[in-house]
Amino acid sequence: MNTNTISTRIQPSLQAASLGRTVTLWVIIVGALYITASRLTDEHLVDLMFQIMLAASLAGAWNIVGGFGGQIALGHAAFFGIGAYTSTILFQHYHLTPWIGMLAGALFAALLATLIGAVTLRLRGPFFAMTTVAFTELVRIIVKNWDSLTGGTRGLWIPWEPNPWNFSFSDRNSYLLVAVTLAVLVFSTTAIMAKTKLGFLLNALREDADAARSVGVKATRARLISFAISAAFVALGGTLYAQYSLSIDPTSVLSFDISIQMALMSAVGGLGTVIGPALGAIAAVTSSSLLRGWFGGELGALHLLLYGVLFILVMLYARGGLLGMAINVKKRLTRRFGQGQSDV
Amino acid sequence: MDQVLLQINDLHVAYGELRVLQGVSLQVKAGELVSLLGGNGSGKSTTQKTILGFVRPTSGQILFEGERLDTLSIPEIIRKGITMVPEGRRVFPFMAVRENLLLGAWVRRNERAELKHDLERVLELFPILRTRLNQLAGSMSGGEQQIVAMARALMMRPKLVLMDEPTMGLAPKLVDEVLELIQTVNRNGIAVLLVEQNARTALGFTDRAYVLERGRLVIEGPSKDLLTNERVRSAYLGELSQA
Repeated sequence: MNTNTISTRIQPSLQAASLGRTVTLWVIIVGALYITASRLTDEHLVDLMFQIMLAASLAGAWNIVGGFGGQIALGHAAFFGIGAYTSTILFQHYHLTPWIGMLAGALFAALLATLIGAVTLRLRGPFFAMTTVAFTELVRIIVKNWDSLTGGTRGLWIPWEPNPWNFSFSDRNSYLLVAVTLAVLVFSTTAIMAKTKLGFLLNALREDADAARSVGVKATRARLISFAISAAFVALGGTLYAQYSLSIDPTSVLSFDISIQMALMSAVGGLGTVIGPALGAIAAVTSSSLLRGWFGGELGALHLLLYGVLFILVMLYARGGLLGMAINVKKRLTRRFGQGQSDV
Repeated sequence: MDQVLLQINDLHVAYGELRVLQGVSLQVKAGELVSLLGGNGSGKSTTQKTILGFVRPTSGQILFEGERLDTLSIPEIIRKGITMVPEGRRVFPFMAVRENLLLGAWVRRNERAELKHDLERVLELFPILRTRLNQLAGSMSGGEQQIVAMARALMMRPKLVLMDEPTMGLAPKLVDEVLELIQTVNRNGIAVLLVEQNARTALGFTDRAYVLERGRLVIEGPSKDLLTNERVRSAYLGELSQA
């Protein structure tokens, strides 16, 4: 976690070997994901994997601001909703393909994030969190009341007319492939960011923003860039969700719950790590799916309750999240058996 | 060597309605060791933060080698040759000592060859850090962290280092060590503007001193003279006047 540009520059040979290994591992994982995504036939499993990929993308995107930057943003649902609504509205009103609408939504979200960030990123801790919550509420209220454009509380329906050009497929596997692509994009970006200047800066700002400023780090700029990237990825996820579920409304894409979920998955998996949020998403989606299966409709909210308990346990006993736990176990095993490598 | 490095003229700073500095004028000459004394809330730290560009003055001038500083950004000011050892050390706890030091030269991050040279030079000055380069700064003792913070401030080859209460929270023995290090820094031709609450400590080893009270300079002069000054003795050295 503490590798960074500057030391990379000084010890290039040392880092090159492990970089090569990381890239190889990454290529293998990505390949496996694509093969699984295209071969999987069980509808239920395809849906589960889709949910995991989408959740992982959102958590991974949130992690750029919340984990690497250490800024607890609780308003990312706004960007999710903006992505979903932008592409859907552009498609319904102007027949613009959602593929382009998706990019428009991401651009719009990044722009808004920059504007909001310019004001709020100077705020600390709870004040920043509160303003991001307020921002989401603002977006939700606008969407709810701008009936002619957004359909108000009824939301918008996307007719299912399979046509790849319009981001509409006859099989779920195609949606899953798009979700895998989004996740690969998010996590590749995070991995690159963690090794380069921006990641190093966010790290320094999270550890001590004043000290970072006192050595000449331009705090606001680094944070704005990360906020914009994070918002854009979440907006892409919004469009993907809209195209997959075929309907959106203020509750399904703009609720506070979505913001919280992104933060929780990221924290449970491992804040500020590259793959932590993916682990958190796997844990969250599979556990909620299993629990829903076991307890049925009446206890539908039970998974949220258990998830809350899991979150509290992680915060109490494993601040590094699931990834941190795994690393600790590996360290102990290595110490006990005196073998293996200790790079993580 | 009597060339004026830093010249502050009639500096006023306000946080909203609160006027923190009300007409502060001071100077630091090249290679000088100057202390800025005063109680809590007297404006010592604000003065330093204004010099480095964290805070903008409402009026007044800050000149460094004859050039205006008060319109420049923090990175630009650092480039001119002023760095800071912030209050409470403020090392980056989860970064190695090497990364902490390199961050000190962040604004010159692209001059790689020189960075290597600067790191070497700083390590010569603080040899204790040489074996600790890969240790996480947060795992070091308070005194060691103070050394890291000072070394970090020297990575830019500054002409003036602002130090904000470098001895705060350290054991008495370590206080002496840190003071010695400050003198080592100073002997290398670097001017130091030291903010201290402990007046006796500061006056004991600086050349000149200024005393701030509620945003105004009330006393200034050679440190030796201030040690015997009646007002300083009663207000800052904890000695009851004989009257």
